[in-house]
Amino acid sequence: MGAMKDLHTDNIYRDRWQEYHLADGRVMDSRAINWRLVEWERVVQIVTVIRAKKYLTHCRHADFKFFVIWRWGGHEWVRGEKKRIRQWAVGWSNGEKCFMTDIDFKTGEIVRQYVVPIEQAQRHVHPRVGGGRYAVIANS
Amino acid sequence: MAEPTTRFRLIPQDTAVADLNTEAKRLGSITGQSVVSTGDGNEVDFGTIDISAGAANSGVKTVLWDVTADGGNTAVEAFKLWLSEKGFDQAGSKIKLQPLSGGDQATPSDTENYELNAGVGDYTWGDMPESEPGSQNIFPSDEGASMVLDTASDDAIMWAMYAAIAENETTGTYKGTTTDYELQFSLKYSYS
Repeated sequence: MGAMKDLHTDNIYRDRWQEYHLADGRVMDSRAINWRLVEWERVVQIVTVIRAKKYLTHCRHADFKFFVIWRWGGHEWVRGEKKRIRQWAVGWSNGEKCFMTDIDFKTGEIVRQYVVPIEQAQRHVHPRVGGGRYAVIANS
Repeated sequence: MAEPTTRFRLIPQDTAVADLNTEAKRLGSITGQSVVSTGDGNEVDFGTIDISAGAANSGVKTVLWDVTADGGNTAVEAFKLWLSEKGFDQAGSKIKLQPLSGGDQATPSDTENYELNAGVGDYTWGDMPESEPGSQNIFPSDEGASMVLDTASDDAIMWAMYAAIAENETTGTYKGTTTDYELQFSLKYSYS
């Protein structure tokens, strides 16, 4: 068995989490489990909660293949002010494109909605639905 | 999931190619490196550019960005760098950008291999985007779309840049948030 990697959860945040709803009725909470340890192929909807705002991403698209999530980080200067880029991206893919919504971590407002080729998100595709595997899968 | 911890480093132009030609060397301490700030303080300094005789260029600056603590994440991806604000008055005044590999890339296409003491004439330059680019525009040395995180990133992102100042540009110190003389870069990446 390889080295153990501590895959973090969202229990460090106040009023910010995701719920992964599985086809059998179970609900996994990102404050309790890292998304990479969820049975991703069974996820039928994701509920993203940031402060009082709640967004549901569903699988009822004709060409739906799997859900895709990641986070945005970095720094951006806007009109003389430095802003930390802190956004949660949630969406779904048809295997070729990802249909994404970025949500501001601070306010819970939608920042933008867009489509990106799957090649621009390869590392964020869950291993159980065809994404690249990583060497260590373990929870702390 | 916590956000990764990252850093920017400026390295001397006389850094030997042999000091940058492996992932471990790029991630390690590079002789003469300085960690540069994302705020007011020790920014990358392009120096004084004399345009008294017309358009002129700054020297070339080589910068690296990497992840020093993964925050419990396994990958970073979609690296985007742009010039988010500039106070230049002349359309021809630009920040020029060339993504770099560390000298270990056999046939680079999205990057060029780092060169010792590189000047303006040594790389093929493009204009740094002045709004968020639609896709990745800086790269690790394998020109991949991502880097694996195992405590830290498995490589560094590297690029060269210089200021190309047009004739008749308004003289002054272009820096940070100085009104009418702004000079601000932004960097964005995805992680999970």
